[in-house]
Amino acid sequence: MKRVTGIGGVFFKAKDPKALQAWYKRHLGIDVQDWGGTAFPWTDAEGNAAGGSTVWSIGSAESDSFAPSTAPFMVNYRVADVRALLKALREEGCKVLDKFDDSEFGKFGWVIDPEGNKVELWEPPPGQ
Amino acid sequence: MLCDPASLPGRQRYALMRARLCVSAVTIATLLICTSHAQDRPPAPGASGETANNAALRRVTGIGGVFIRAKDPAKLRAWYKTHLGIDVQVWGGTAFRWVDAAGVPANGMTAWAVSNGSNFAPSNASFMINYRVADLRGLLKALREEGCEVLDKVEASEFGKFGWVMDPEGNKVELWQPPEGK
Repeated sequence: MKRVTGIGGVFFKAKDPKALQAWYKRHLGIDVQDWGGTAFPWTDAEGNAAGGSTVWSIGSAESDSFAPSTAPFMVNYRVADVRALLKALREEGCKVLDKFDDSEFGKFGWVIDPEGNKVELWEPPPGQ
Repeated sequence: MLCDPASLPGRQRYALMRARLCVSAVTIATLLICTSHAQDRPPAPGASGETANNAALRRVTGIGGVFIRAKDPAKLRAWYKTHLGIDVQVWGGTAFRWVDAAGVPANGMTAWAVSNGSNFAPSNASFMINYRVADLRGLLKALREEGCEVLDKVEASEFGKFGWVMDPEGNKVELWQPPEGK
């Protein structure tokens, strides 16, 4: 079974998210949106948007979005078939979270790695 | 600028979804002057002219890599290899090729690795992000002028050019100018 195929995003927490977002906007030129991050489109050799993208954002240290992990970061991994992968991970004894999200944005599931990092698994909508 | 959400409805939707799922919406304070570091240094000579140049400078263009610090890197890599199917190489990570809508490899890639994090120093964060940049030397010069904490070390090899800056919360930021055409 095809499992992870790419990096869909990287998210990290800050003590002062507004200030840190502003620093990345000003000094690194990142087009931080009002939701706290941006999506970097993958590009071809000419610099044109190719297909997928990698999302980046800075959230609040107070947020429980990475719970039950206490890590200050979370990586989103693109997968081809999230339901099949979650089933396999459960069978393999991995700590798969019960929560599952299925919407126009794609399908999401989560598993905790052995060092306590929350791993976000994302099956993008077809064509993305 | 880099990504116009209006022309990228799917990405915009994804971004909004992320906001709904796990990112608390915040208002961005625009044009904050660098960090407290800026106040520790005298203004750069000729700063006004350089500011105009810096304004035109293209900075980060994408995510080049994400690196995770582990207590037991070998064990954690094995977990990602076994359960997530990541093709972990002997150097401790892999490179995910970007693909187009048809799944054909495009051009760039995003690296991923698990390590003991010794290369994150002087940061003691549990992760480090690599950002693709168009002009590393130009950017490092601008960051120095702006009072940012740029590390002295710069690397240039067949893999491209690398420089590093510390963000205001102590995360080491890796800046990478890929080789031509990569």
